[in-house]
Amino acid sequence: MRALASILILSLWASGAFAQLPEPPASPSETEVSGGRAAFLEGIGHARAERWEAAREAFERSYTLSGSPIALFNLASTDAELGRHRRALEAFDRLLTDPELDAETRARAETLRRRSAARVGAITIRGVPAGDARVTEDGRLRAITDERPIELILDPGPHVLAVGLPDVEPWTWSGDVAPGALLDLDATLENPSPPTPVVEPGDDPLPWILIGVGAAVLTGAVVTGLILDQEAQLSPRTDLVIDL
Amino acid sequence: MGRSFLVSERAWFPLGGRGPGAPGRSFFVSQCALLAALALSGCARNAIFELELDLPAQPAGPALYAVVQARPVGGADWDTLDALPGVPLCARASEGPCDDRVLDPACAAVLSVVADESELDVPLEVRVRYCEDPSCATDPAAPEHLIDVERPFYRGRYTQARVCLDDVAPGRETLERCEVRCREGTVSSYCRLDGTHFCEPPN
Repeated sequence: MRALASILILSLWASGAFAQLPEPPASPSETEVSGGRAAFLEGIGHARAERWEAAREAFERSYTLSGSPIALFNLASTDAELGRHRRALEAFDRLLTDPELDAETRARAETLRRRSAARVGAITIRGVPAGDARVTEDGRLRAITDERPIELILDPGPHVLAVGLPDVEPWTWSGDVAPGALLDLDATLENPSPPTPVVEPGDDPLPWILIGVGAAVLTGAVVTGLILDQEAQLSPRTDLVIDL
Repeated sequence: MGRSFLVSERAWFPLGGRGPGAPGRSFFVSQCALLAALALSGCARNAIFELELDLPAQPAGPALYAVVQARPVGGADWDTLDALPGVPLCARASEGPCDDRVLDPACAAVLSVVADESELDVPLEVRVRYCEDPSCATDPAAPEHLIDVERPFYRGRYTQARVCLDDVAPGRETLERCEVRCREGTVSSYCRLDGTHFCEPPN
């Protein structure tokens, strides 16, 4: 397995061949270096056993403690192995800014970076009004930005994006991002719905609300049930489609 | 080997939806509605194979289009099948190992082949012809490249494979079962040591 080989071949660091530590941290203590090395060896052990999540955690810990570029390389490789190519790209990009990176590691990093770059999708969101837009990806805040258009890199797979601005209804998009996809999305943000009508004193709306909610739930569930089966079927993520 | 991949695969492609937890003061009607919705809803029965074709550079001579068709092996005659609109070849030749290439949309075709449950187990045959006519209707002698895919489909899964076509020339190649990926990552095989595919449950 190439990723495993990539990681193992760099286990030289564990023997001290790459003892010089760049930032971050700026000046790790001996204890931190030692801890970083131990975490690195732990990561190698996990990688040998192909426990990639555990390996990733160990390499991240190693890098945080030591700032070792080799730990960063292994962290990036492990992210790529786990299919988290966006994170892998960030780590490779950071690694490749290191002027002291040895040629072999640089070449390997550039190769793996190209592979990850071929797997992510590039999303451009246009039409968002000026202002600090709050961008969430799969429910997590991704950025607050005033740049237009908004450009994102996403890992392949299903995603939900939302863009919000103060005092306007958020724009949302959900869909599958194919590897290497280039998506150009048009966001339309609208003013919020009108205020709720005032209820006159003495008019108890609760029974009507309950009846309405019940009817809506029933109708919605039946309709949802009817369309869920259709929606459960996979949909093509590319423009060119052949239906056998 | 497979176990660790299976865990990461599940983490990346979480199965099913997580419903809201507490029902609160739910009515009988809402319970019935929920049951009705659950009873009527289904799981994906189809499968989609995404084939990335890195197309060859336009050779000297008239402009050529790559015209792609696909069928289950032993399926209908090619002449009776619809073809996708021809994709013009571009002047630039791709370079580097196939897996490392960043596909240029102008020089590549990424197609989705959709199979329903009755077609999941059959091998797939893809034909790429290079024609002067974008529909390839008037060029029966056009050179063609055939790609046999041993096992492209797994129920409810997207699968992918890449083929780099470097020359406008007749040819035939086979994508074996373990060359079809169903997860992202950089691996040399998409099967476990026990021979099962990552798209299948392990033995």
